[in-house]
Amino acid sequence: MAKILAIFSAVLLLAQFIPGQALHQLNTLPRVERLADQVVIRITPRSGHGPFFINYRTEGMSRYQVRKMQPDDSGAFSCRIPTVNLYGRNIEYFVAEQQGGGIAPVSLTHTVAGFTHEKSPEIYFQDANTLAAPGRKWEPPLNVNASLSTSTKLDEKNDSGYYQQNYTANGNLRIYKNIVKNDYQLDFDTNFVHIDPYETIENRINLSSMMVRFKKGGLQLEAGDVAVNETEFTTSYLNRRGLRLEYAGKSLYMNSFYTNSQQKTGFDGFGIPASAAGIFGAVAGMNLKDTLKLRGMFMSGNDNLDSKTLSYSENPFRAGDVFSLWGELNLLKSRLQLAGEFSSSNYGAAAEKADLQKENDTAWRAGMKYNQGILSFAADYESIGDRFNSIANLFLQNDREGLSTNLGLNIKTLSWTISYIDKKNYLHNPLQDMLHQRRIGTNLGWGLGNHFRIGADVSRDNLDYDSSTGLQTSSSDMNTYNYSASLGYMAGSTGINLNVGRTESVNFTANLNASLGLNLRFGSFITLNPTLSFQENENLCDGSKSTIYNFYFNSEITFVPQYFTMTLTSSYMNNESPLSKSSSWTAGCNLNFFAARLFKDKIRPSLSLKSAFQGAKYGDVKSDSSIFHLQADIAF
Amino acid sequence: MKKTLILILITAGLMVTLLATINTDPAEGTTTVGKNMGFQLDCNNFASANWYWGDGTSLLGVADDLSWRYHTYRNPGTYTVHMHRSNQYYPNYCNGANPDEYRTVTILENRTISASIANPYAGQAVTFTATNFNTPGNITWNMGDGTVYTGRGATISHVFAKSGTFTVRAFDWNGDTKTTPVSMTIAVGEAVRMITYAPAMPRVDQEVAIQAVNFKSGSIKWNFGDGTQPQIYSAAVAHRYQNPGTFTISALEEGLPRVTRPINILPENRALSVSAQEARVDEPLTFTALNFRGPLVLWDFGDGNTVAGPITVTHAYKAPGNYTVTARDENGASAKRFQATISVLGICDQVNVEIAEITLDNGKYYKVVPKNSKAIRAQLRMKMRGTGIVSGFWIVDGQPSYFFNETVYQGQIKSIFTPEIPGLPVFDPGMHTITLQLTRPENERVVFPTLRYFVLPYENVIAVLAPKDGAIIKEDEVPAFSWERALGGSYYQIAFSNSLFPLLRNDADVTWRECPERTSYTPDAEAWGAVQRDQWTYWKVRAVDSTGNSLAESGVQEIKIIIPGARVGVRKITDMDGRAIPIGSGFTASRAEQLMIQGSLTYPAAAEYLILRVYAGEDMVDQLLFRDIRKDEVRLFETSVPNRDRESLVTFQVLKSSSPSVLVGYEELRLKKN
Repeated sequence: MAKILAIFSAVLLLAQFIPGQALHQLNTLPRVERLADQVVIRITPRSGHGPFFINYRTEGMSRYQVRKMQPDDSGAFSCRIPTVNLYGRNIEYFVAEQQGGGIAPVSLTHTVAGFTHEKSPEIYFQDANTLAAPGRKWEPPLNVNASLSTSTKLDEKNDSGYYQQNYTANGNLRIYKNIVKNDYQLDFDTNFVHIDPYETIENRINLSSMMVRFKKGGLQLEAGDVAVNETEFTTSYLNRRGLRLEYAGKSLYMNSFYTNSQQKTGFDGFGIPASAAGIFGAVAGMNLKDTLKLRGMFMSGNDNLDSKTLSYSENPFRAGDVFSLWGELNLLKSRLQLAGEFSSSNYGAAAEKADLQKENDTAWRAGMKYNQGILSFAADYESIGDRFNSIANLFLQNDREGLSTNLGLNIKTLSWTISYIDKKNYLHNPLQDMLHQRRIGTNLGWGLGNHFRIGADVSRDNLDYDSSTGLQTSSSDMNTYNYSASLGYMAGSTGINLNVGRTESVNFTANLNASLGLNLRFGSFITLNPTLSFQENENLCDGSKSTIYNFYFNSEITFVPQYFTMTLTSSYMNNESPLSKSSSWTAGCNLNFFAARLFKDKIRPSLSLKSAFQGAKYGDVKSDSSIFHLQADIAF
Repeated sequence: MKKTLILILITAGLMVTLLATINTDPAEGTTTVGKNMGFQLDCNNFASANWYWGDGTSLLGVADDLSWRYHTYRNPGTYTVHMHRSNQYYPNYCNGANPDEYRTVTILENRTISASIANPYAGQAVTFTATNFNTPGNITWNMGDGTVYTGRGATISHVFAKSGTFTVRAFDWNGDTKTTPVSMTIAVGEAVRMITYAPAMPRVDQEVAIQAVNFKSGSIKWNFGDGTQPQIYSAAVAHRYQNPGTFTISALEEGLPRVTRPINILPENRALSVSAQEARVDEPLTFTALNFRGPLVLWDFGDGNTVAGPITVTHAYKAPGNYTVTARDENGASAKRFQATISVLGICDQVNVEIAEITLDNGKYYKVVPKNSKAIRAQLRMKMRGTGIVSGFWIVDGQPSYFFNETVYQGQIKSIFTPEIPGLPVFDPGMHTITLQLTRPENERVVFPTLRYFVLPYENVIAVLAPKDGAIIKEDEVPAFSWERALGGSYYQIAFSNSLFPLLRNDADVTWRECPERTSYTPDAEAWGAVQRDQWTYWKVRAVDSTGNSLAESGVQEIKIIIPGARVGVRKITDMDGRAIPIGSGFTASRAEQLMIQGSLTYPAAAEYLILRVYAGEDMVDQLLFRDIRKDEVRLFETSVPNRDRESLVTFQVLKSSSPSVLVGYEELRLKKN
């Protein structure tokens, strides 16, 4: 047995030295010397041999490159192979010798492994086949989409004595048609909503959106939910029900609108807006190529803050007129932009309509933006009178004046901004002394690769009474420091967002907060959306602390794709403060059956068995509830 | 005769004159019980006399003179007053020899008793009043039902326990039951169950004492008629009505009909008055609780100070901020809270929400989205006063879900969105609600409306047809982007971005380009030129309705536009010994079996990698990798090619390695072997 093993080992060992073809063996093995960006292969043959050639190839090659080895004084032959441009990380080589009329290998094939640490890109070619766009299908004269969701309560138990309605009935009916022909465009789009149960400020049946639009070239007439966005001093993102007529030509611009001043419910607000809560505006302007843009606007209207979406402590009855001029000048191939606006308003607000008195005031601002490569700079100065206000901009902050600047650096995915603000507030307020605000801050956003993004924000804000008033001493300053950092990851349907921040208002409050949001998708079967939040507030005056932490979880588990899913929702919140302690939890589990595929997506029905459990504890008082629903949905 | 006749007449006249009579005061001899009556005999003989008043009492041994004698009768009736002289020697002119004189007097009754209720029910309190009694402070009342009250006043309340006809008698003269009582008969009916309440004219939130009278049991089901839950209480309950109007109180005891009684609740007239809505630190403010019933008011000034005080108090705040003052009537017994908001000015990290709006991302309170859509977010916009922290949480479907914590600065308009990761729940079809609650500022009591979004029972994803995800496209080969229709899509828009994040998050600064062809888009020169070269570009298409609301989206796709035009130059050709070989215009001729070619590579843009492949005929003889190429940079290379055939073609291919690779440069070299 030992003999057999010895013979077998000898055969294997011998086989290692027998190439595929007959070789004239070198008396020494090639020596490989690795230098920066090159490999030196050296042999020391017996005298009288040569010339020698190095045959080498890199990964993925079947053929060899040939280089002649150069002799040196010691009788050795060497060859320097630059590796900077070689593909892969390994080099296969053998030494060949010119013998007679031909060249024959005189060494075994060796490998120089890992001549570089740098990775070489994979090389493959894309599939050239692409799918064509679908042809134009027949379209009905009027498109209709409908969806209905209704549920019946199976069981409910709770401690409060307030029970939910025994049924729900919610639905949408969208009727629309869009025609585009040559340079004409006609849109008709409405969505009716049935809501049950509904709140007192809602209606059971609502026209939640509507748009009738006719467009020809630059001329456009809209009725329904129109959007008007001109300037901060006039209308900023006014999205209301009303009428709008616009002409946007190359050199001429005109726009007029008559909208509700607030968001309405039900069918309110469609048609001609009520004069008691309507805003009329007209804009005219001109463009000088892309260099100069000038606009002038007049706007007049009334408001009563009757809105579905607002919460306010201001006077509800408002009325005002605004006249405004603004323009933009683009210079240096749009690298430099100068902009300015001057507005004059006649505005009043009161708790009762009869008490409403209008007053005149003005506002102006001037600013510039400059972009040069990776750098950008912007500066704005504004002065807004205390009685200046716009009827179409609820959020305008008046009675202030000052400068804001920021300097930005953008290098690929790195964005770094430094900002500085110096503004005075309440310059003319009889009740509030003038406040001087100075804030400096820096913000960093950096995309790491395609999927990661980190961010950081640091700022210091100083707020004090203006020394010129002599009303307060500097000891009344308030400094607010803010630090925050974030980490984001997004890849397809998976995302992670982590935020940590601290705000400290010196002498008043220190706040620490952290949140983690995850959107995790595991194949097409499980999606998990957990959110964790933590907040801690410390009262620096008395040292008391209050904390809130919350967990929220929303997930979907697919048992049979496109047919059967289960959704889970739960939350837990704990709130502790020196005066109170409370906690609450919720949990819900729904089983959903989707049957759209059974009907080839012509109609899309679904059936859900829903359950929800809630519990709360306020001090020593506990309450619990549970409810079960059977819900049916259908859409087409 | 004449004289005799005159004498007779005079004598007769004297005789007539001398007939004695008892005079009375009042003269007619009639008076009322308790009143003094005077008696006088109009003829005296200066003897003693006894007066017998006819009621069993007498006055004996008084002088028989013209003095008036008085007597008070305690009972009504007709009495004969008898005066008897003790001396028989009395002048003839005083009734001759008759010693007794008589006079009849009449004593009328003027005392009465009356009942407050003519026909009371058993169990009902009746008030009896004695009028004109002579000892009104001391009357004995015999109620006729066996009840006797002694030493009582002129007014007495009595409850007859049973029905029947009762004679109520009131004894005057310090309750002397030997005197004739003043009486009345009263018919007491059967007991009636009823509801009584006090005060008679209650106001909103005022405690009303309600009594079930004559009810058989102490377990009564009360319904106060104001929507509060009916409860079982005893016969006496207290209730506060929180709204004005007329309500019906009903009391129900088992087995008996329901008893009802209307009650009118007057409107609230209480209010809280503050001397100023805004003040500075340490500036005293006066709070007045108008029309409070008191006597004490429970004050909560909202800064931790609470006091039970009078209806007008003063208070000064020590720190800036917004405070809610609460006043509760009746030292807190009244449930109703009267509140006023005070703004104390000064620097503080408490911010004041002046106006706030929450909307969905379409600017409205309602939106319809398909299942698993990411195109749904909610936004809070606030106009604040002050610098400080605003924190709170979004409540989705009644569950606290997403917390936020933001620093807001003076004059800043703050917008806070629900997070993208994770987004609002869109797994379950049907109606969902979202609202908001602020936890800081602590003194703010902002109530936000509830928004709704409707999740359709299907996903609405746009299937992209071309170009394929990950495609590498030469910039001079502008592709057509195409996709399938989405349900409900009116128009389609396409967006390109150099970064994945803006498209995944649907950032507001993403530029969406209209697609007039709806299901395909071929970029024009401006759009195509705006897409970055030689780096991955991400794109996404979405379907919108007529108002621009997103209805469906595709997944994020990626493409890379590369710049062709890599140039390969042959700078030098040598044999293996380094001897130069002239480069011919058509062919390069040499005897050498193996040639060394030194060349250069340039590229008109920056590139991370370029691959140079060298082919001799069909065989790839070399593959070189160039890293970090700068625009128009000349990179040198060296390669060997065989030269064995009579004529051969050497080709150089430059690949832009972009996973996958694309050919961006090509060059040929023709060799001839001599």
